[in-house]
Amino acid sequence: MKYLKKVLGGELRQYSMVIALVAITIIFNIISGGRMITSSNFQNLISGNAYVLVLAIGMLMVIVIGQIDLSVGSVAGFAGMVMALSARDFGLPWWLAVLFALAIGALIGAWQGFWLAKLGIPGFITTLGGWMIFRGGVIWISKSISVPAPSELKVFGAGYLPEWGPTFTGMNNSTLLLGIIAIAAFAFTQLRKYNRLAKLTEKTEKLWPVVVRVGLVGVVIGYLTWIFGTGRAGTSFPVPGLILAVLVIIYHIITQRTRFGRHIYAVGGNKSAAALSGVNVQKTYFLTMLNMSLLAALAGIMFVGRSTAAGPSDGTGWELDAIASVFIGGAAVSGGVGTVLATMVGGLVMCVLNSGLMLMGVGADRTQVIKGLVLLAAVAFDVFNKQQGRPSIIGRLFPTKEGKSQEGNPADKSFQ
Amino acid sequence: MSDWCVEDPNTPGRMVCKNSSFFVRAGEIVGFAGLMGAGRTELMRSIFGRNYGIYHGGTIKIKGKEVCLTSVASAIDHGIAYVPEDRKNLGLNLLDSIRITTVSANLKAILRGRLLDLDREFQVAEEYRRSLNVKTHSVDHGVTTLSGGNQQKVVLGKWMFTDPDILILDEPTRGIDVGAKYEICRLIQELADQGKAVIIISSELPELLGISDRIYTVFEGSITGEVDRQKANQEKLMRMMTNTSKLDSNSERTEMLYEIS
Repeated sequence: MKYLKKVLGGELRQYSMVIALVAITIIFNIISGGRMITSSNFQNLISGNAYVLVLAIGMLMVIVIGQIDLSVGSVAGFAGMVMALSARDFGLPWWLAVLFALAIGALIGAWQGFWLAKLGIPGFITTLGGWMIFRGGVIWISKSISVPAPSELKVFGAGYLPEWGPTFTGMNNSTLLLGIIAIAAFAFTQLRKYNRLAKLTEKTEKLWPVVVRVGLVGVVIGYLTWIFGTGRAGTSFPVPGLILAVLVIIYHIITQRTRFGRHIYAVGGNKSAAALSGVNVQKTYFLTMLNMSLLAALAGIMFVGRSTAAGPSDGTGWELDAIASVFIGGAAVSGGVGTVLATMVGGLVMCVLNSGLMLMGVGADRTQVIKGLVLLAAVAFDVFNKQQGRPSIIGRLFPTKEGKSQEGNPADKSFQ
Repeated sequence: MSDWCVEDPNTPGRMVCKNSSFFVRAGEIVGFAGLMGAGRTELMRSIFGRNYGIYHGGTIKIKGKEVCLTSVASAIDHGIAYVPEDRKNLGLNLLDSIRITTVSANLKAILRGRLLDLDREFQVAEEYRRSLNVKTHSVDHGVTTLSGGNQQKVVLGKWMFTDPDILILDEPTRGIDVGAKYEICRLIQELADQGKAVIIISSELPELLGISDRIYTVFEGSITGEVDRQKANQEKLMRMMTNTSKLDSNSERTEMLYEIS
């Protein structure tokens, strides 16, 4: 157990959801007789859920500032419809239509941000209004009829990476390249972190946990690369997945390494204290809401690309999936807590559940029930874990010396 | 160096601060005495980027130059720091670790390009942890794991990192143990010796008498008096704080008060 802790980097708790994700994937694979972990299923899983995960990124930031956005599904539907209509009726080229829809998304975000930041209407109310306004809006402008989207967009919604290079690799070379880049990047960041830590604390820790960690993650990424790369001819890691991956990296950096990111957490943690530290609370609210609607527009466009037409009911219920992903990922309702990466894991748990239950032939009704229970269980698990001085569930399953001493004297932990 | 005055911010209908004028010199520690609710905190927070009340008029001069502080960020840029009295609700984000708290008021200083330099952040936090003697194993621990006195030191460190010229401390020793109190008082003395202007609001008169060079008294939103340390004693301050001198028609103290107001 001690070694496992070292390999994972000390904090077991933050990996609990990752472990859960891997576990349910494997369980579903066994139950469904090996139909879970296949190329086509994984490809569908990613390209069919990328848009919800894109929403979840923005939703995470909104929830961290202590607000909620109920309008994202409607906004996504509205932006998708605007794009389809502007391409069909105004004859805009597809890329201009996309930019136009994104601009509309930003405008909607500015509208929501105005009500929240300038007038101080709670986000719940502001976006409940937005939810109705834009759902009504999309039905209004489309006259309740589906509108075909430019065919070029299919790449963004359901496209695959190009095939090139030698064939002896036996897999899609774009995917292979991505996999190699991912492993190299992970190894590089881990090594740099190790070096930095050694330099700052002036005591050298052992190198082997880092090596084992890089090795393990390398194997996992390699395996995924192989799965994604060896599907039917012409398939690869899906393009929407790539868009999502790029966004995750960008937003991870924004939330963890920029002033704006720090302001988001400061405002969510304690609004008054943030204001007294020189944070412009209104501006932070405004930008977060603007960003949310921009991402919602992008999600809408990706979805329209996938389904090749914009329908008046696109995006119904997406906001709830996005919110559920964020909370399964460990964010706090009161704000100030949560990360982009954890949200992605939370979102993937939902996706895998959906997909796995479908493979098992469980109907949509019961799937819904199970998803609801998982949400409750995940949040309850988190609440339980966060109570001070209590060893985590995993800590109880594998009692160590440290674990026992904590159990003996709960107060110890708070002074560590 | 610094010589400034403020007049009249208010909440609708009721003036919280009325025609208050005062000055602080560099390297000086000025105390503000008053009863609870006298308007000391409100006065300071209105100076600190109009964080409280509605501005009604008045000017602030720093180093003889008039400045317009319309936001907390601009107040920080002009070298003012304000340590609030309510540590848990206004001073700290209790979810943060010590290192994030330490740099939170001056993120600009740890920027490298557009990104935050986390190594620098760690170094800064370590530096303040050591120099302020914060009792913790690591700056990565959450601020909730600290005792009140150590939390207050972290808050002080956070504001020292903004390198202020004028440091406003609102009840800096409330709710902390004697040892930390002593350390904080010594720290305040050190800061003044470095040439910073320090303003202290405190309800504990003995402490105020011990540390301040000059003391203003505040009563119902206006400044009712100013005394040097040598001439001050508790009884005199208490009279000025409660403005009983108004009723006391024949005393010398009355004259002195009117001269000042």
